[in-house]
Amino acid sequence: MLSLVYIMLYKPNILMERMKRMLKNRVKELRARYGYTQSELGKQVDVTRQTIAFIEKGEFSPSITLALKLAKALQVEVGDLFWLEEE
Amino acid sequence: MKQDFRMTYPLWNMAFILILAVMAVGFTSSFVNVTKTESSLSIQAQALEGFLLFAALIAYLVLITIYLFALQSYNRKNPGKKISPFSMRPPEYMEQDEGMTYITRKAVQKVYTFITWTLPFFALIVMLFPIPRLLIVWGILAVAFGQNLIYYMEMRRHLKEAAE
Repeated sequence: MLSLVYIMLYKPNILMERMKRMLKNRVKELRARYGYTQSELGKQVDVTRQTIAFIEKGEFSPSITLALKLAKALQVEVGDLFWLEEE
Repeated sequence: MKQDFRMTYPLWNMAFILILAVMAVGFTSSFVNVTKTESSLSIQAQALEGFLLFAALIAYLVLITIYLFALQSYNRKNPGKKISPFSMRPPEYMEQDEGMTYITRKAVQKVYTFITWTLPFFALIVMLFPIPRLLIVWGILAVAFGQNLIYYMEMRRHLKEAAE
């Protein structure tokens, strides 16, 4: 029982968690500017609505391919859409 | 996403595991061994075991019928992402894009960590103590239940966050 609780609270990859906190983005802001829903933007870049939500929340760092697709869909340079924030 | 069969699949697994746990009482005769010298009690225990086995078998058949109907209905509504009941690959994996693959991988990592800790610990307990066969079977089923529970909770947490 204790091991179950431990596993529930366990963070599998600390390095990944730190990197996630460092990567910031403007996906939500730009999506709102163009009036896209998460589903509409997802369709444009060929991913699910959930993946767009994970990116907006900083839960998931997209691949370079997806970052480029998102930048193209939102008509900005990839560097203006994603950037690293030093800790 | 709530309607996605892949999301609810671990819940089906958990229900099947619970029925198997009841069925195990019928298949293992630990109760009879305990009351071997008292014939009247032994007969009652055997009757109870027989009833549990029969009830569990019926419940299993009912659940598997409902499961197959639910799966057929899901496959009809989602022809692009059909699930085979005979697939070797766990159907609960959600890997339609990189974001979903990421959360599936995280959930699987948690399950792997759980198994890595639990199975050797369980093997040690079984080696050290004279545990009845029924409890060993329940222990294995508890691990299987825990694995599904961890996977389901982790996926649900991520998808709930995405829905907010």
